[in-house]
Parts: sequence; C-alpha cells; structure tokens
Amino acid sequence: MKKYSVVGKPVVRVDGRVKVTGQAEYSGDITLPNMLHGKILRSPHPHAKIIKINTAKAEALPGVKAVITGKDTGPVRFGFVDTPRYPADEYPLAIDKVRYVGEEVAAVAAVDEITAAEALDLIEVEYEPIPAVFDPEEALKDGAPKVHEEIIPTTTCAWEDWGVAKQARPYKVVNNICATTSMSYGDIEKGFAESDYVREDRFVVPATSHAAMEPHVALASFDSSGKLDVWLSHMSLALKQYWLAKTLGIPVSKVRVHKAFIGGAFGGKINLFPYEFLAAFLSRKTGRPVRIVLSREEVFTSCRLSHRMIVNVKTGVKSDGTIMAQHVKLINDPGAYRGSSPVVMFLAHAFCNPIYNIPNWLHEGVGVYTNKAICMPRRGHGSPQTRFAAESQLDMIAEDLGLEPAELRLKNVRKPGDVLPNGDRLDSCGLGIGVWKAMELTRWKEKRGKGNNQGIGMGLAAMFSGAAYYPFGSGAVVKLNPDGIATLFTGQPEFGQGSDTAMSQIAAEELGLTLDHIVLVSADSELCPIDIGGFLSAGIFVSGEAVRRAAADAKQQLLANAAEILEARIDDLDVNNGHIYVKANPEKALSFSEIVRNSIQKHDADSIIGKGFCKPVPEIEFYPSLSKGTGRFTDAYGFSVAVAEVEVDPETARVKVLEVTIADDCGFGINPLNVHGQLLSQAVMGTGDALFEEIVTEDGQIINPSFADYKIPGVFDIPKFRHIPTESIEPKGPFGGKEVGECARAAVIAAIANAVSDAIGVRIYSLPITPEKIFEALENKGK
Amino acid sequence: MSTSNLGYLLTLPRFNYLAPKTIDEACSLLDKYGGAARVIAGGTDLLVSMKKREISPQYIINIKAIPELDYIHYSHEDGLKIGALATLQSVASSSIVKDKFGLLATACKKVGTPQVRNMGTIGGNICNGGPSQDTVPSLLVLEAKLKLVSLQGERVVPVDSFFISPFQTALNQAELLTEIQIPTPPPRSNGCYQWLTKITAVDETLVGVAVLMTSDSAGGLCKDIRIGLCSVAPVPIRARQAEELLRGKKIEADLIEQVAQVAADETRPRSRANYRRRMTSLLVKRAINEAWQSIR
Amino acid sequence: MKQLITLSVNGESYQVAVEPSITLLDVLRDGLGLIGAKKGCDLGNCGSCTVLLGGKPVLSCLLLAVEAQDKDILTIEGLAENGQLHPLQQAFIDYSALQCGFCTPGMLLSAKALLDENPQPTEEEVKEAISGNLCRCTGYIEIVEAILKVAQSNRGAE
Repeated sequence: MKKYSVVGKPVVRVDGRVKVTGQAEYSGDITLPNMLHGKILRSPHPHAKIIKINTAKAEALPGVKAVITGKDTGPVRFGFVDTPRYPADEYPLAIDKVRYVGEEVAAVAAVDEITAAEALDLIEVEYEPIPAVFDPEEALKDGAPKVHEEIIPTTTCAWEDWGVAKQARPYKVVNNICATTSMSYGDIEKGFAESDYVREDRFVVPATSHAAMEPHVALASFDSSGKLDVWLSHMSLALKQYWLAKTLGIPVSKVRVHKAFIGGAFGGKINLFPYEFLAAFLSRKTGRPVRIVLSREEVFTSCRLSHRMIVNVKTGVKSDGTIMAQHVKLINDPGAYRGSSPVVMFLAHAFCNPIYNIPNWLHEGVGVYTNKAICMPRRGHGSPQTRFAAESQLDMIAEDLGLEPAELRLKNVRKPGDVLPNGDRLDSCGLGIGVWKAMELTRWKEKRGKGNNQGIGMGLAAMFSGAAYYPFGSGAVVKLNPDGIATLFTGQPEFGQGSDTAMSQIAAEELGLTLDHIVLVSADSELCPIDIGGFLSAGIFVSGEAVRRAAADAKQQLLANAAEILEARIDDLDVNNGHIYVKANPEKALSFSEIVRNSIQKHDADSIIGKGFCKPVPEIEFYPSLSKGTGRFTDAYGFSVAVAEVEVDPETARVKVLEVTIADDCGFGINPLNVHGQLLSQAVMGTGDALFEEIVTEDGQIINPSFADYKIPGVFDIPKFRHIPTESIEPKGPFGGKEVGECARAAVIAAIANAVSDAIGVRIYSLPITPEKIFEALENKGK
Repeated sequence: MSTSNLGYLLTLPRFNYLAPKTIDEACSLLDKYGGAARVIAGGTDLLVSMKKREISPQYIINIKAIPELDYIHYSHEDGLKIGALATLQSVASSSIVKDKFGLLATACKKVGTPQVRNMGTIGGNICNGGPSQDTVPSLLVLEAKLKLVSLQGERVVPVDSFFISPFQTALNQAELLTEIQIPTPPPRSNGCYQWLTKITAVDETLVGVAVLMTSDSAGGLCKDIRIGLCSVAPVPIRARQAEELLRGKKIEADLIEQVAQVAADETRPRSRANYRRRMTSLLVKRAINEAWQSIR
Repeated sequence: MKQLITLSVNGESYQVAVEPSITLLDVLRDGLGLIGAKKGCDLGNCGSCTVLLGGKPVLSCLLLAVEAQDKDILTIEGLAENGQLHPLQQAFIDYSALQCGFCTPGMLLSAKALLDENPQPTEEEVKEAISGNLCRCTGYIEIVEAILKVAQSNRGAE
C-alpha cells in the first residue's frame, strides 16, 4: 500500500470549528438588508379543481408586499425528470387543480413571518373537490380518478437544453401511469425452466422522510440588473441554477447559488422545489430579498419522501443455490407528480446487477400517479427497497433448500473483473471478501439459526460512483498564491458528508502540501467550476478526481518552472511539503512561494493555475436508457456487506438491534473518519428504516408529519457498530477511492430484516417491522 | 379566529400577555377573561397546541412569577404536598419523592426529554388532561387530591374524578390548580410505574401502568392493590375490577395472570387496540410482581 | 403590542422590544443575531433550539421571550471564551462528533449542562442527557464518546 501524508489519514474536518462555535451560517441564518419573509398557502385537498382565488384581502394587509398565484408563476413546468419521453409535470404554483394535500397554491411575502401567516389566512381559494385515488393498484384500473390528463410541454425539455438533440413531446397519461421500465438479459423463461426451485414473493416498502435536521429553506435576491442570488439548502449547484433560470426565464449564468452551510440532505434536498422558485418570484416582484423557511410539517408533507414500492421478486435457483433467473416487478407510487419515478425504477435494477451474477433476468417497473405526496431520491434511491425484497427472499430460498445463507451469497456474488451486461466492469469489488470477513468477525456460523429470539442476518448492496446527469461532470481549479498556499475551487456541496475536508485532502496530497496550506472555496456557482453535485454518489470519484487532476496540473506547472530555475529535468525533481527539490541533491530546493513569484516575473504574470475535469463515464455521452437499461452506467461501484444481530422480546415483540457490522468496499478511504461516519450513519438510519420509520397517510393526508409521530432513532435506539475497513483500490478513483455515502443503508435494512426472521422464525414482508406485524406473523405461522 | 387550516405553518398566533405576581391576581385574571385565557406554566403543551392552531387564546397568563407555587414538602402526617409549578425534573430528582413515592419520581422522569422536564411542571402535566399523561396513573394509585383555587375560594378534588374526557378536566375556567396532595401510603406498601413507548425509546407512552400494593402484617396477603393506567382509555383510569380480584388474596402466578387480563379488558384503547390490550396485561403483571417484590 | 424586555445572554444584557408571541428562539436569532440556536422543528421535538436557562437545558422554541427575563441564558456563542474553545467543543472536533453541524449547538449545551452538574457521568447518564437532542447524521456513538472523553480528562486533571 502506497504511503500517503494526507489522504488515508483520519484528519479532523476543516469545518469543525465554525460549526461547534455556532458561527456556521445555514441559509435560514442569513439576513439580507430589506429582507422579506415568505410563506406558502397549501392545498388541504388531495384532489380538487381550483375554481377561483381571491387575494385582495391578503394584499391589503399592512406589511404584505406581494401575493402570487399560478397566474403569476406561469405555465413553465419543472421536474427532476424532463425528457422527450417524460416531460416535466410540476408547476411552482398550481394552475387549474391541486393533486395532493400540501401542494403549493399561493405565496406571500411580508415584513415578518406572523404577518405572512396572517396574509395566507386572508387568501380565499374556492376549491371543487373531485374524487381522489390513493392506492397505486387501484389507480392502475380503468375508471380510476385521473390524476393527470395529457402533459403538454410549453418549452423545450431539459434534455434538449442540455444538448441531447431530441424534442419535447406531449405525454398522454393512461391508467395514471407516469413511467415504465423494462430491462432484460439472457432468457428469463429458459432460466426458470432450468431452475430446480423457484420462489415468488411480494414485499411492500412505504414512503419515509429524510428528516435532515435543517428544514428546507431558500433565500432569493434579485438585483436591479436581473441577476438572481440565492442561498439554498441543496445538493447540486448546477441543477438549482438551471431550473431557477428556466422557470424565471433568465440565463443560467445570471443565477448565483452561494455557498451556504447545509444541515443534512440524504437525497432530500436534490429535488427542485416550489419554495425555491417562489422565493425568487417574490423577490423579483417586490425588488427585495425574500426568505422562505419551511416548517417541519411542510418538510414532511411537501419536501418529498422516499419512494413507495411494491416489489415482486421471482427467483429461480439450482438445488446447489446457483441463481439462474430473477424476475423483479415493481409498482412504484411516486405520488401526485412523477418525481424521480423512472430513475428510481432504473436504479432499483442497476443497483442489483453488480451484486450477484444472475444469467437471466427481467426487471419491469411501472410508476403510478396517486393523490399523495411526491417521492424522490433518498440515500440509495431504489436500492433499499429492492435489497430488502431480494435479500429477504434469498434467505427464504436458503431455508427452503437447506442451504447456508451466507454460503449461498458467496456462491453467487460477483468478483473483481466481472463485466456487467451493460458493459460496466468491476475493477474493484469487495463483496466476497466482505462476506468472509463479516462472517468471521461476527462469528456468524455460531450464531445463525439458533432461534431463541436472537438472530443474525446479512444483507448485500451495491452503489454507483457517479453517473451521467446534468451537468455531466466536475471541474476543479487550483490557484497557487505568492505565499505558496494553494486555493482550491470545487463546486461540491458540503452537507455533512465531509466533502470540504476530503477535497482539501486530495488537493494537498497531490500537491505535496499539508492540509493547512489549502484554502478552500467550495459550492459557489459563480466562483467554482461545474460540479456534478452531491447526489449521485460522485463526490469522491468524480469531483475528487477532478480536484486531483487540477492539483496535478498545478504541480506539473510548478515542476516545469522549478526545472527551469534549477536547470534540471522534471524527472529529476520531487515534491514535498511545499517544496520542489532535486532528488539527487535535496539541498537544491525551491519553495512553492519562490516558484510562483519567479513565474509571475518570468512568464508574463502567470501565477500558476491548475485545472482538472472528470466525467463519471468518460466514454459515454449523456445517458443510458432509463427505460431499457442499456448502455454504460458508472465507472465504479461501491459495495456493502452488512450483518445485523438482533434480539426480539417475545412478550412485547419489540426488536432491539444489538450490533451492526459493515464491511464496505469504498476503495481507498480518503478520510477514514469520514468513511466511518458515513457507515455508522447508515447503520443507524437503516435501523430506523427497518423498525421505526413510515409516513402514514389517511385519505391522502399525512397523519404523522412531526418528530413526535414520525420517529427517527435517538441515542437510546442505536445498535453497537463495527466497521471492517476495506483494502480494495479502485484504479480509476482518486488515490483509489470511490463511493461510501449511500450504499450501506440498503444492506443494513436487509440485514436487520433477515436477522429478525432468524430470531423468530417467521418473515415480515413489509417495512417497518413493527411488534404488531411480528405478533401477527407468529400467530399465522401456526395456521 | 381559528386558522386550523394553516396549522402546518407553526407560527404562534398573536395574544395579550399577563404575568400576575400572586395567586389572587391570577385568579382575578382567570375570572375576568375566562375561556379567552389560558394559563402558561412550562408551555411545552400549550405553545405546541397554539403553533398547530388547535387553540388561539386571546390572553396568556404566565403564573411562573408566583413564588409560592413551586415546592415539594413532606411530613409523615400530612403526606407529600407538591406545588403545581414544581418542574417534572425537580419531582423526578427529589430525594423524598424517590424514597417514599418512587413510582411518581419514575413517572416524572419518563416524561419527554431532559429539556421538557426542566420546563414542564407537574401541574401542567395534570391539567393537560390527555389520556397519556404519565404522571396520572401514579397519582391515581396514590389517591392524590388536587387543590383548585378561584376567587370563589378553594376546593379539593380527588384525582380520579378530575378527568372527564380527553383534554377536558374538572378545572373550570376561573380556577387555578395550586397543589397536589398525596397521602403517605400505608405501612408495608410499595409501588412502581412501568410503561412501553409507542415506537422509539424516548417517545410518547403507548401503555403506562402504575401499581401500588400493600401487604398484610404477615407478608402473605395482598391487603390492598391499586392499578392506574394511562394511554389505554379516553382518560387515565383505575382498573378497579382487576383490583377487586386481587384485594385480600394471596399472591399467586395464576391469579396475577387473571388480574392482568381483567385489567386489559377494562381498557378502551382508540388505536393499536389489540396490541395495547396485550401490553396492558403484560405490564400489569410485571408491575404487580415488581411492586410486590419490593415490599417483601 | 410590543413590550421592552431585558435578556441576559452569554453574560451580556440586551434590551429588546418584542411581541409577547415571539419565542426566545426567534429573539435570539432575529433580534440578537445569535444564530447558533436552530429551528429544527419549532415544536420541541428535536432539541436543535436547546439553550441553557439558569444552567439548565431548555427548548427555546417553546419559551416565550417575555418568559425568559431575569434568568441567565447561555447560547452556543457563549461557550468558547476569548476565542478558546470549551473542551467539549474541541472534543467534538477531535472525535468526529459532528457532520452537518445543525444539531451540534444544542447537543453541546446539553452536554455542558450535564458535566457542570455531574462531572463524572456514566455512559447511561451521558445518553440520558442528550436523549432530547436528535441527530440524523452521526449515529450518536461519537457524540457520546466525545463527552465521556472530556469527563475522563477532567478526572485526570484533578
């Protein structure tokens, strides 16, 4: 293993001090001169026509500076998916009807929050409620209420704007279907025919909330030249810039997304949200900055949830456990708008492919509109739902055939060097070794199958390290300063995952500088180059590699300059600790500072600026097909093997997760503290998903939109945690690194579900695993 | 004006604020404003309701400035007297309460979180009047009394007739709860409070069971038993039929099972009913065993 | 109708004109510019708004500003002294007890209140002290460890 000075070291985070002192400014902490406060009027109905809106009384309230409705925000639609096949279907404010409880209907800007709230109360909306549909299988039937009719684009679609030369076309909604996918490989019928044993099971996963501690917020300020400055709690500069520009009808480069601290994201802040557009519309209308901070209840109801899914899995195996065929059918219920439905269904498949070598498979999915809150990515985006189903079923198959479940997995896991059907090659793959190590460390064989209300279970998951999505890559700039310190510019947003620290480490290592010799400028769309964002698991692999290349470029220039000054060849030189020296004669050395100053004088003020770029998959242009699943997808996968040990109280049916062990292949860990933090985070989050978390809806209304009723793990709910460090190196990643932030969650959920089943001898087919479900399953067991 | 449609905004409605310095002053204000006023003590319940726009009182009367409402006094003859403004934390950590009325200390410690216990008062917890108030089962089995004061004078109401229906108590609009009076339990008595939460470890109570038992001088018979339940009926209740079964009898495993089942049958849970009944039975059994062991 | 109140925050006296319906949290953040206390849920469920009142952790989102007079208030901004980090703040950095940082001010104040009252807490007592502070990022283990490490080093110092 190569020796590094900065990467691979447990460096404390660079933004620690500013956070522990309370100085870190999150978007809701920022006040601009003359700022107004915005609030949003939301639909109380799951499905209703808007007959008329009267804003006169609201506008007349002293302190109210603007009131807007759909006629002010206009017919430009937006959406996470906006392609010729799937045109965007959302509006900043409802135009002629509302489709879910919480949908945005009007917005107000006033001198303070109380006045804004009072103004909302004075807006008179006449609704005509119409029949609603809440169950996706009901919504698919003929005669079900139609959530959408035809979606007719009024502008070019995003794909067109982003250079994919296709044209937007209308989408006729049939049976409330918002998206379909169908991907296959091999011959599924033949695969099942050749199987000795076939099992089919149905699993149900509810919507959950990301529940980041910082509620969603947008501060927008239009200046007199028509330039928009925004401070957002977000996960991608480029996406926010693009959609704000499009919806408001201004050039993309006239939108500046400023650096702000972000209080957690987990996928929940990647969507385009009405409140962001509305803050901008209100600012433009009033000529003053407008800040909209959402309440926690609004975050629950209107800031997107994770995807509801019904997962039907049919798997065929040989009697020795070799998987021959798998047919997965998904019914995805993204709510009243498409959200990320086609993407989640594609990813549900794409994240399965790298795990087991299945020769024949068919993955089908249908996304169905219902009159409920909208669903979007959440940490794993499709993987948690399908891993819960597929890993649970694998255990059941093992039990039916009398096979050891961990051995069954080992028999089928992919290996380094495997090439997936779509052409992705697994240059690094730590699944097999992960299973071995996890089995050993947890004393798996000793504990498995003992019953007595104690159980141990395993789950496997895979995750991409970046894929093609606007803006399709990242850039970075490293600027040397006359004092020898380097300023790093990267657009990666820091929302807790440690990217500010990791990027700084990468630049420092490549340049041979200590960490305190890097000044970081991050996540400002005007100051920083393009960035792929923090929602595609591309932080290290793509943005980190761009940073490394930029640092390498700067280093190369430093070396060239030093060679000139020292009258040596570049090959004779080496870099260390801010100096370049002649290897054979280390006393012949120059500091970076000297080199930079010399270059300024000798090279026409060239102060040495390095740049670097990186695309997730260099060879492909734009996208794989979301609906057909063909084409290269990502250049590296992260892998997780999770083992959970649980105890079930037979009298209360309460599950206690005793310990979670994760063997995660994230390639080379740029910062072991970050890696550990991400995995522990997912061990706890997975516990919440497996046992506690569920958005409960009644007649379209979310009935638990608060932390009192939607329970996330507290300090007394957490398991013990063990991390088995990886030793794999991903050749294409910076120093060998790849993704770590969102793979393990799915593995943990599956592991807990399997552990519970091992403990009590029955299977729960839906999440969360509640005491009532356990009692019911135990009672039905006898029958 | 109700703005219940906009409860999702969580902004407080406007109100007039009053801060009386004496009990008399407080009672005058309550008398004057009646139903348009609400008393604020800890505020952890009241402000939440107001933010959700469930209620929008025109007047908020802060009684925390009244010095003579925050105390914990004990004498063997008079029993325990707790001022209504004693915080849940002060009751939970009081050595006299922990020593002689342990189940009440346990119950107070269970409520909320450390922050909530520093702010919330025992009086507030009682006057909330909801079905799930953790302090109430203990007060029921300790047969506590509540002193209610108004301009008309004062009256003492037993806890078990204080709760009328969910969030509606016998406290009338012009009255102030000033004191909780708890008689010293008989000799050879002990009790406990057990609960299960709804979902996570720190969470609202799904089933709360307080038990107080007294043994005879020989130590073989259950001379008296009181069972208090919360979160399993519209208001906290005594499981009197279950008590009857055990009172005066010898403690035996089968009998305890039966008693526990009868207690479960006395519940009227509104949601998660089967599970609540089952857990009531379990916790009553566990509580009886714990209380009984701690006497002998 | 606004009234003039005096708040004692981090050892300093502030006079502010407030509506009675404004919470201490809002006055700290909007009136005094002390943005360290956060509005995570505004209903008292998450603990991000925790400040110390008379040394005790309370939820500033459920306290009216008018109620908070005559008591010493400590916010996160008052924890470091003269630029010197409190041992807890340093420990949180050293032991990776924070990620996004949003829950951190409240968490630190709950921890400080604990150690001020109970300098040698057990692990259980530490967990109890932060049981009202939700964290979505870290998984809590390092937070507990950081607090215990400070307690340990205090013991060593004696």
